[in-house]
Amino acid sequence: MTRSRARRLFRPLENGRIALDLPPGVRELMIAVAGRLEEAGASPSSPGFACLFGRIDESAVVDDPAYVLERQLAVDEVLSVVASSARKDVIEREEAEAWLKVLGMTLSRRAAELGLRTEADRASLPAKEEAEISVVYALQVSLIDAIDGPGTA
Amino acid sequence: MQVVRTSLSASPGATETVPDVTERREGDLERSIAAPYDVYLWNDPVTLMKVVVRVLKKVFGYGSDKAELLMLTAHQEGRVVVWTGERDRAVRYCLELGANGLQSTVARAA
Repeated sequence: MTRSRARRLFRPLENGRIALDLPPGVRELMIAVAGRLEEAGASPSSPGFACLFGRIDESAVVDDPAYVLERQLAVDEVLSVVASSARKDVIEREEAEAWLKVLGMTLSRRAAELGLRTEADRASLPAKEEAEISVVYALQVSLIDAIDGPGTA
Repeated sequence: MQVVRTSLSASPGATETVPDVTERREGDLERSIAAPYDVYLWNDPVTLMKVVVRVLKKVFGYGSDKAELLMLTAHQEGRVVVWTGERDRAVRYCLELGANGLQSTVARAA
């Protein structure tokens, strides 16, 4: 787990909604990461699929198919929310929570794809990949500050 | 419960007591479902500490101190039990952690 640095990209409004003040390209980035999660979810042989839908019950030979389906539906729902809200200037809190989930799953997918298992793996990450991850961090921290208030969590 | 049946062995008329397999399997299943399950949170090298703490507070309703302690334990030891209880709830919590990008599994409690 990693420590964070903040940047203000999302601003809480008095009505509880959240205004977006995003640099060029960030909306497209959100749509793209949602698309890549969708692709990973459709490719059972991909590392991203394993991290999104890997076996959860260590005591069972296989997971209950109902849980697998529930998981897939939950992922589909947040991806859909992000796709439909990525171009808005103001989003609802529920939409912001969906953004956070997609960003969290994106990091998880990326770590699986890059084979990152330890802090040492992370430290040797090429600058390009590190920069991508830093953008996700900035979005996460700013979203959390906008939803919960600065300095929380 | 056990079933008494006539033996087919070399001692005609002898009886032996054998377990009712069907009933035993049902009993095992009930005990399996009723047994407490642990929800594990696994360390990963990319998720922000701030995000982990927030998710633990939100999903389990934990206070900041407990959420931070659990996060740090996972960070230092590789994984930590974040909740123990009934299987269905454990799975539900596990799914919720996963939906937030955290690596989580459940297992029957030791």
